[in-house]
Amino acid sequence: MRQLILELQPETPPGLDNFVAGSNGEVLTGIAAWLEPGNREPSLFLWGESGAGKTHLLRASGGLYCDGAADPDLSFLGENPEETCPLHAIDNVEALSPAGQIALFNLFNRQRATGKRLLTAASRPPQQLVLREDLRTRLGSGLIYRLQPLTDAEKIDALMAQATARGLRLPQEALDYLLLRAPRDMRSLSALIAALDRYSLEHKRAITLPLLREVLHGPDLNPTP
Amino acid sequence: MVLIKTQRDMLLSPLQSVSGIVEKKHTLPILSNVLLEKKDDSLTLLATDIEIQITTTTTGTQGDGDGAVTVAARKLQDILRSLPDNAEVSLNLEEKRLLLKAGKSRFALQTLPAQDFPRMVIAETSQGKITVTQKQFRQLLSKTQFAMAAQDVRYYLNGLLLLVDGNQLRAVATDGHRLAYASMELENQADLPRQELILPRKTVLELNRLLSDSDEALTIQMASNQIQFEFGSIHLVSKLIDGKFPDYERVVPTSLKNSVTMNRSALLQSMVRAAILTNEKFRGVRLILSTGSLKIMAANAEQEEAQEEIEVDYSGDSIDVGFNVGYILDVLNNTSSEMIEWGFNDAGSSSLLTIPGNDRFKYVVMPMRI
Repeated sequence: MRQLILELQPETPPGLDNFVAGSNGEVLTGIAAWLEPGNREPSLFLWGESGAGKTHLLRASGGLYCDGAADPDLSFLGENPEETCPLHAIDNVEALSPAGQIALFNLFNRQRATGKRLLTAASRPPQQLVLREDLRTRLGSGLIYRLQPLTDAEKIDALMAQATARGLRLPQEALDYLLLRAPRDMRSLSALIAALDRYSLEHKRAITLPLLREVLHGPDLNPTP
Repeated sequence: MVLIKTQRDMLLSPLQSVSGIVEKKHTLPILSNVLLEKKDDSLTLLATDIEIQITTTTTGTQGDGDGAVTVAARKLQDILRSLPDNAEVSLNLEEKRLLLKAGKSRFALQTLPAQDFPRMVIAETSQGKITVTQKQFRQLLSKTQFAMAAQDVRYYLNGLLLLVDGNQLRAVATDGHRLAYASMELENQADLPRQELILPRKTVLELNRLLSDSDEALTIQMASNQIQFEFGSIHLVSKLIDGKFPDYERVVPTSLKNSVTMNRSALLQSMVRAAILTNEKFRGVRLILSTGSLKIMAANAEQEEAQEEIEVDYSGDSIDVGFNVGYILDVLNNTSSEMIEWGFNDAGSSSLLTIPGNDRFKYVVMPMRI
């Protein structure tokens, strides 16, 4: 038997204001400035390791989001070839198929020709990407920013902030345990905070080390919606 | 000096009004005490736990002079309660002690100085004042307070949301598993700007205990971090919970595919019986709703089983869904209508209990996955 819970808290959508910058303050300022309506630079490319915050920023940009890992052909664009949008945000461009690369190449040119913008992200800088040369050089022609992953101390601050926003208090021992035993990227850690929130509400228990262990080793980490 | 000379009940009943909030154990010893303050013929009793403060004032008290002192609230109450009903009681102020005499009984109680007693600072700025009857407000509380969380880490759930908007007063409580909502119209009241106040759980329970089912007036005075209630001879001041209460409107389902209306007390009795054989930990009951019939089934870890069936006027989809029987008993026990309507979408989403023809009460309850 398992008690289902009310959706009391809407998921907070990723935004520039809830992005924990850490040492990426300059990147955040750069993106914010680029997103200003008057900015004329058509392309911005973000790179950094998984969990550094690329997807967060792409989603926070307000652009039309498309994930190259989930849709390697960018068929979304193919279905709407005339789709014009002031800002496209394409994630994981290194995962694009040959067809997807052509679609992105065309999108790049179209956005530039019509005074619109393209935000892209990958795990490596343009010169190391294994993509069509014409696409690779175009991605490298605009603004390029590198995102650094957060340090452990910054991760703890970020997790505390997420917990506080949910009305939770995480004991220090739980935070230490999380960083030691859980996956270390912010995406997994954030998902873990959400899972802890659900589990503690479902069982009416405070967040303690034993509860944290149950969640980490239980089936609740990725609850079926 | 004889501070007070009066009938037992003239002292006991105001003491019982204020002493409910006195904590048994507290880091500040004086908080176990009640403040007795006599001025001319008026006697004021005051108790506080720093979050809540209750004061009562009665007049017609006899005694030799004015004075103020604090004594252990629970001991004084226990003594007074065990005296004969019509006993004449006198309180004599001595050096550091309060001497209580009644007939041939004598008690010397330790005192602490009245000037050391902490009093809450009453907010000077008011954000609005409401006057309702005690009965109306008590009903609003009793229809919602049972859904409050008790000891949740999300401190805002351990309370009750009072929402004032125009001429509407709403109360909402939730523990994340179910949510109760009740509203009332404020009559003869200038429209108030929308404001949300979260009353601490203890304040809500105390108000529910102190309010009567009478048409006597209750005045509610709101401030940004404080709320005051005045009724009868009682003045209750409470801090508010600082925080954002969940948006209840997004939790109340707006459309329900299937609903069934049935006699509330028949459903209550079936649930009470089925509850006997539920699992002690989860308290789950299984409901099978089909054309013309509602079956309620329970089973426990010892393989014991209960089955109830109620004839209902229903022709919608067949539904097989589990609930914590405690959450259903709560709503059926705390409403008084003849009929109750229960709406469902499916076994994985929230269900809604309402009173037919009354949109002022809503109870949302999440199912259990069996």
